[in-house]
Amino acid sequence: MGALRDSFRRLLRAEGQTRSAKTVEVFGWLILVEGGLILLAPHIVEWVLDLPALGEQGERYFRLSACSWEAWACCTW
Amino acid sequence: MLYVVSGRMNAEGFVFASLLDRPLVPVAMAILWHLGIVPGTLALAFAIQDFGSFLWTLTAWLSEHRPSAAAVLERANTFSDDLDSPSIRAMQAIYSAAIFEEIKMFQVVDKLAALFRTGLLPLGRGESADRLRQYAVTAPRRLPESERRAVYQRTLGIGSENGVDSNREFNNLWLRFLSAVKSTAAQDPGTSQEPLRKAGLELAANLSLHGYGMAYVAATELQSHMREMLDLLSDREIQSAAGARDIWQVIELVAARDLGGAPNTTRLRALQSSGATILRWLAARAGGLARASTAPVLNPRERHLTRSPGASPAPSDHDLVRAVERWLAASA
Repeated sequence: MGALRDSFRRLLRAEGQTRSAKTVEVFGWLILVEGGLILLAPHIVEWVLDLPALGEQGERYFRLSACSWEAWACCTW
Repeated sequence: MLYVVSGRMNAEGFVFASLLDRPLVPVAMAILWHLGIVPGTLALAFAIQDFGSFLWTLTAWLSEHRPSAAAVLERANTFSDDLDSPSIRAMQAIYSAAIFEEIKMFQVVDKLAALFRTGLLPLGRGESADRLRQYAVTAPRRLPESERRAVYQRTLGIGSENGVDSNREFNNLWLRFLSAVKSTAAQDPGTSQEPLRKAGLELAANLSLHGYGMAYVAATELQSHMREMLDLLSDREIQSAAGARDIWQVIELVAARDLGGAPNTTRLRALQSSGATILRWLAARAGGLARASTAPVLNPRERHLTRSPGASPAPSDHDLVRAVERWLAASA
């Protein structure tokens, strides 16, 4: 339990975080927000990126790709 | 989520893995776009995002692993950065650490970290603050003062000479070698240099014996600790936060204000740099001293040695004689 508590404390406080680790964290937040946006509001992303009209099935696949994109971005290849 | 958690927990391996992974995204996107699977704008957005963030992380990673120019210069003037010739070079690192201990460098850097933690060192949220925070967090991994002092005592007899495993012979052998160098440099060419060869050989044997095993491991740790301290003390922002202009002024100011008095840094630095030069010369020549030869050991007019690329420069005989003179003057 001590190790788990210590890990959560490190996660909350980010003690001793280096600059390179900070950039990785920021990238993580970016793809998290991005994935959430695609999942919840695919039409906004469609409009911003000027994508072809999605259609009902296309929208579902796009939402699905948001989840898989995050998974892919996290554990890529 | 993995990126956020790994970044916050400072997972060095994940940072490196992401440096290998993210540059591949533009290639993957180009292929998907070419096959008509992903629209061009989406592929471009993901490619820019991943490659841009990769460049950002790479820049930060490189700057963390590249010491500042001032620190490199200071290191070059203080201790050798490699331990290729194991035992005697290890002793050179331990000798430098022992003098840095007298200079109170270890205590000063610990004090700076403590002052920063309590908000008494005016540093912003920049790179210097990160480095000081990182130093404080990794402190438990380094040798504590009691263990460092035990290493100095075991290997060089510095500290209490009455310890059971103290290297009690070192001081006499060291002074005998220095005296032999001084008298050999003053005598006419052609005179026998056998006393110098014998004194050098005995000192080298003593150092090899005590710089073996755990001492070598301790030397490696001390070397990395000294490197971190010099990097921090060379940081301009930390220097100005401490109200100083260079490394030694930071030490003098902090030691005088918080550690019960400033050390004589000029004298101790002379002892450190000249002592390190003498040990480097001995490390380079120990093998030659061990071989029976009629060739002279010392040629004080020799100013340059051939240097192998990448290796620390070995001091010439002229450097040795000057270092001995400086050491004797500083220790008087």
